[in-house]
Amino acid sequence: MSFFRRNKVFIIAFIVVVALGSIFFFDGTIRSTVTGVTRGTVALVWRAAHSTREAFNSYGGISSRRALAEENKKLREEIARLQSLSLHNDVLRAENATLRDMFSLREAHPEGIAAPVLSNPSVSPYGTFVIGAGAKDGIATGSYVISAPRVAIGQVLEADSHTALVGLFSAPGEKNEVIINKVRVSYVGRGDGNGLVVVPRGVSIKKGEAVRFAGQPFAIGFVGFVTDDPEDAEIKVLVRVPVNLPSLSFVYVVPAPK
Amino acid sequence: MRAFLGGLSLASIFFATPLIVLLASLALAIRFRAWEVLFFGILIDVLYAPPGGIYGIPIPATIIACVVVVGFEPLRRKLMV
Repeated sequence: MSFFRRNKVFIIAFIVVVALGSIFFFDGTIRSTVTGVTRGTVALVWRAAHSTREAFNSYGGISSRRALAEENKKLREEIARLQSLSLHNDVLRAENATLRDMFSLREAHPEGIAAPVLSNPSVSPYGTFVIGAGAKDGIATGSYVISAPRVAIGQVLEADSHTALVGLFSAPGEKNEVIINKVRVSYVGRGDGNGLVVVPRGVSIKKGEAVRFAGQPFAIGFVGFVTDDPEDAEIKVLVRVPVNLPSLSFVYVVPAPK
Repeated sequence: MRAFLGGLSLASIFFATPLIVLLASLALAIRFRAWEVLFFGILIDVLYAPPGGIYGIPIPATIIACVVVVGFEPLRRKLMV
């Protein structure tokens, strides 16, 4: 059997990798077209899943409706209707609270845009997630992505027509310059909304203190835990984002200050 | 079985952790000559990979998928004979 027949699998896989790697690495136009079309298509799936989940929660699950239907048809329909309205109100109230937070962000940054979160940040292996607004909605690469309470959680890495890819600052290994208690230090992401900052001994650090971006008007997180070993010359500070990233439904995108 | 594992991988790319995608892809590669694993790696990179890739590697998930498909081929041949 010839070399090519014996190693057909390896050769095909190698060609695929080299071809794709070359396209993605060297040609920005093809990459942006492919990613834009793919994310736009998958965005329909994400939106349908969000709608289905909200509708399911509004009706309180299938089993309760069936239980009521067995007992009394008329009263069940009335109770189901009232329950649906009540639970729908809860959903609207939660969404209202989120949008109110967005509104307060809008008052501070009127140039920004509210965008729905399509993909769960924990789904991506690269510490990224997709939002449902893109270049045609006014989103630009490099814009800061903010969540209530005015914490910058990431930056727009790529803006397609109607979707955009956001990179989390707390992604593992992601480094940024931050200021904590007037001291400029390096912030290293640790994943799950956490990051680590090492400050020299002698700097006073309080739990709950804001950690701000160097040169930017945003916070990156708040001090969650301080490791203070008297034998160390440095203090390790765990910085956390005060929002549950997997449960994000809306974010606010602000252009990078010039 | 193949359809189930393929569907699980695909759904996990959109809604679940990467670990489930990896485990389902490994199971597919061991049991079948699963070319769809390459597609899953490409899809992950197209959806989620930042421009420039990770640590200078442009398409990490695709490379891992190739390693899984190629690397498990001898084991698959031996187990499935």
